[in-house]
Amino acid sequence: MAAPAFDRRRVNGPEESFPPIFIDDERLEPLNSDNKRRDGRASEDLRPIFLTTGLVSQANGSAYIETGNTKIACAVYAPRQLKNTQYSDIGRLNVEVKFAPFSSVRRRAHLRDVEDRTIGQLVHQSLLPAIQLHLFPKSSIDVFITVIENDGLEGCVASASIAASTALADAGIEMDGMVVACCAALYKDRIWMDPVTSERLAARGALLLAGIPALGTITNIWQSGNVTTKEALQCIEVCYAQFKDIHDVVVEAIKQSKRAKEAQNAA
Amino acid sequence: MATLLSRAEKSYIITSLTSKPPLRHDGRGPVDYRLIGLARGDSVAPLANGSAKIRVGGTEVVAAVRLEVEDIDLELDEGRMRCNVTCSPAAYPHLSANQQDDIQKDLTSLLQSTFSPTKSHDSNGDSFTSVMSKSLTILPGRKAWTMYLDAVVLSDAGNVHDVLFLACRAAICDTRVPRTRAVEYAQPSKGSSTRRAGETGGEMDVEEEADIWKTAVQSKRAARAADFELEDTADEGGWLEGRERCPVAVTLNVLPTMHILDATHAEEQAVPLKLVLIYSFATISTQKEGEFMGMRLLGPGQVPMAYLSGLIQEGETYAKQLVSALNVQMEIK
Repeated sequence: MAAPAFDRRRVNGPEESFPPIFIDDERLEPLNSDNKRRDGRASEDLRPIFLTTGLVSQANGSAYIETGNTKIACAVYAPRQLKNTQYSDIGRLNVEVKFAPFSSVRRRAHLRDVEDRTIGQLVHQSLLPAIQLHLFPKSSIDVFITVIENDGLEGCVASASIAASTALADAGIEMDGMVVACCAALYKDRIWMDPVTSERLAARGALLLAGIPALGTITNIWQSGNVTTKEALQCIEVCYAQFKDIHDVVVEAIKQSKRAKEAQNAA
Repeated sequence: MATLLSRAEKSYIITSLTSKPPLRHDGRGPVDYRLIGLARGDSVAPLANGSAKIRVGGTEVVAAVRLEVEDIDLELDEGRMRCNVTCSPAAYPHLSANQQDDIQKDLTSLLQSTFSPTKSHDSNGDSFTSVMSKSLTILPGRKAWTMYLDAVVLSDAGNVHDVLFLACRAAICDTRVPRTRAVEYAQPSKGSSTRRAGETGGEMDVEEEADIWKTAVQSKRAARAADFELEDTADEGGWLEGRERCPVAVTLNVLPTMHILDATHAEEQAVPLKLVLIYSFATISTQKEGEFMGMRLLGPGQVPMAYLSGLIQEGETYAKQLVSALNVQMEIK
């Protein structure tokens, strides 16, 4: 989507631009010659997750996540006073997602575009059921997510949800449990976990699942493409099976951040 | 109608829903729909290629399909679909303009992502969207119909997702695609050009003209087709291919112990979680299972993992019933 308002104060890129096409890009098939995934993963493997807190020092809580090529920074400012709106007895959750202009193969507009809102909405839905909003009357919880690099849209939403819930915990916001998310794509009769962009383009359907593993509940499902009911249920099962491992990563990151804070206070 | 409920009112609704037997304030059973009113064709939008208006209780949605010719290139050699949802300000009087905009965008992106053809090497081209976009092609790689699906939410008294998809389905099923045939420009034969210079009578010229502008009768077949023309037939065109597979949405409003269908506005506010399932069925008569075209979870509630598969399977049954009821009404086999 083109930016609706043209900002003259910026160095604007050319009106139309195209990404360079390299020779090896031309045949970017998701499978190697020996029928394996390109990055050597097995179908049920996730990309390794790197997660840390305390990236943005001025925010109440923040987190940085890296899964493969996907890199996302998240900052939480909360609780903030809700000004110029009428009284509300529960808090309001705001999620804003912004893709960096250099985050994708095509340059992103510096203003908000439609996709940002869709992704923000998905992260919002993943987090909303977990946060105890009734403890924050008259206030808002603002979550700002910056996608630095994007590889696989569903994976991006999943990683953003994980980073956001870690940042919320870092900010000391009360939640029912940590939210983790995971995605899967269907290619022929097999299920690929955590697909990258080329795999997602080849697949006929994808499913994103977010939930609270500590309670065994689901907070968000998002499915697109054509799959049968049986396949959708299978995808949900395999995504859910990964939740425990992701949860361990998140818990470890929070423990580390707590230790770092204690060390800082002691010094 | 669009008042916000207090906690006491919400609790009252939930208590009566979870009691045994479940009670709804309009006397319906938990999985009963309100009466579905359907109008379609010229009485709704005479200038559209297909249109329909659905009214379920107080929720009213008008959908219309307009076909326009578009130049396409080889990269995108099929017809496209553009969806747009507009919410009448009267439908959401309690929301600010920005919030209404957000609802419009959310509904639009749900429609667009459901109806846009999946561009994957994997799909063997038999999904509903790819069949439909193929039947919108006029000249492969050159011209195709772009399908504009516009829906207007006139009022929302609950269950807007289901009604929106019902209206879109009815409008697409009502759509007639004008018949076309390809036109080919043939090389004028050698003889004609020399004879043209001569002094033969007018009658000969007319015959040669007809020869030069020879038309290829097999539509969509001609290899060197340059343009197309509308066929002069009495009917208004053919139905869209695969229209019986157009999806429906079923929204399950999930409570801890049960779920209800077709919630009213008040029930929607009281019940914290909605599971929207979008299904497409190849044919109702065969036992072939439905195809998922989308699934969304909306609202601040959580659903236990153990319930989820049961909900999805029951959703398929409800969707099947809804489709067969609509097919009877629309006379689709």
